[in-house]
Amino acid sequence: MNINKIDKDFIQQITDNQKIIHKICHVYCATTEDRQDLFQEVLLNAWRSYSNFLHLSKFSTWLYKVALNTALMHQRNTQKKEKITWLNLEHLQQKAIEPDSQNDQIQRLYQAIAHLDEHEKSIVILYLDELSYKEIAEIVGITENNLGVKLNRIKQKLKQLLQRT
Amino acid sequence: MELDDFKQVWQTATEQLPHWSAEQLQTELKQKIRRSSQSIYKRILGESAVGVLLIILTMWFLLQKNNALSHFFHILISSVAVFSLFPIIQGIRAWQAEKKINFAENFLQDTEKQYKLLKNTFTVHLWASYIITVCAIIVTFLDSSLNKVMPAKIFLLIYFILFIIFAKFYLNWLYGKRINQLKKLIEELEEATNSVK
Repeated sequence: MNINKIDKDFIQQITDNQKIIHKICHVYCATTEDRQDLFQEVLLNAWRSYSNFLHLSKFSTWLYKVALNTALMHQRNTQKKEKITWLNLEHLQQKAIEPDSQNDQIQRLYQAIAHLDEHEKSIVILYLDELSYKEIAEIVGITENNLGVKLNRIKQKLKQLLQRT
Repeated sequence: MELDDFKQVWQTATEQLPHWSAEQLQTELKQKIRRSSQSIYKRILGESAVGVLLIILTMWFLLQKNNALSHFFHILISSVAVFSLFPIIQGIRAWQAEKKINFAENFLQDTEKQYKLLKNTFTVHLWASYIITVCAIIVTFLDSSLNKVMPAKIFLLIYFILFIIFAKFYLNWLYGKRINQLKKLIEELEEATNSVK
């Protein structure tokens, strides 16, 4: 594909739906540099896969799939997981004594999500974005029944993590 | 607090996320397209190209020095040229396939295909290196014109033997990281899409 022939329609769709990518980058990456790297990676993979987008689903559903799969591959490539988890744990303990403003709450949530595995993170993002069970199941590639079971387990796990703060 | 209690905060945080213009996004994408060329495939192809160039130069040198090269030598040199093309062709195939991975549909299948292709590329690269080096050892050993400079001949033979010993370690290092990443990713994807037990 030619760098000079970036589809205007593609750029417009990305512009309108960019928050999806930003959110995923915030959940999967701990540093600004890493986030920017993942953001660009998602853009590249979306651009490369766009010619196969058949408009059978919403663009946002398609973009969630691309962004989440890219995040999974990115995690495998960067291998900074252990370091991030350790830092987050320390951060969680500090947060326990700070006032519970809205900013703190979102930080607490991000830090708690950081302790989930990659697929659990995907499900949480989609659930918090209030996508239907059908859409979430389609994006993560499991049945709605499996999703229900997994979601309950994730909620329990997060509840315990958040209680620790 | 439970997950549902965070929905409102999540929405507020989403609204506060940065919003980039179409021009900014296009610039980011162009930057990434340029940087994405720094892949292992470029390295594989670059190194293979250097190898082919060295082989062509050696052939040219031998032909200049000794026009009366035997038929056997010609076969060996031709074999080297042919076998050096295999890793290049396979490397280009793997590079193209990596670019064609569909991150929205069939991600698992595409990743599995890429994993197998990269493993095959590794095998082809390794065996091509072995065959080329063995041919080079035979040519060096039999070429009588090199007998006049014996230290050079001995040096070349030792170099080629060491190359055979270390080729596997080097190629394992070159391909291994990417192959392992893909393997782990496939395992994760399979585990995630399996039924809940």
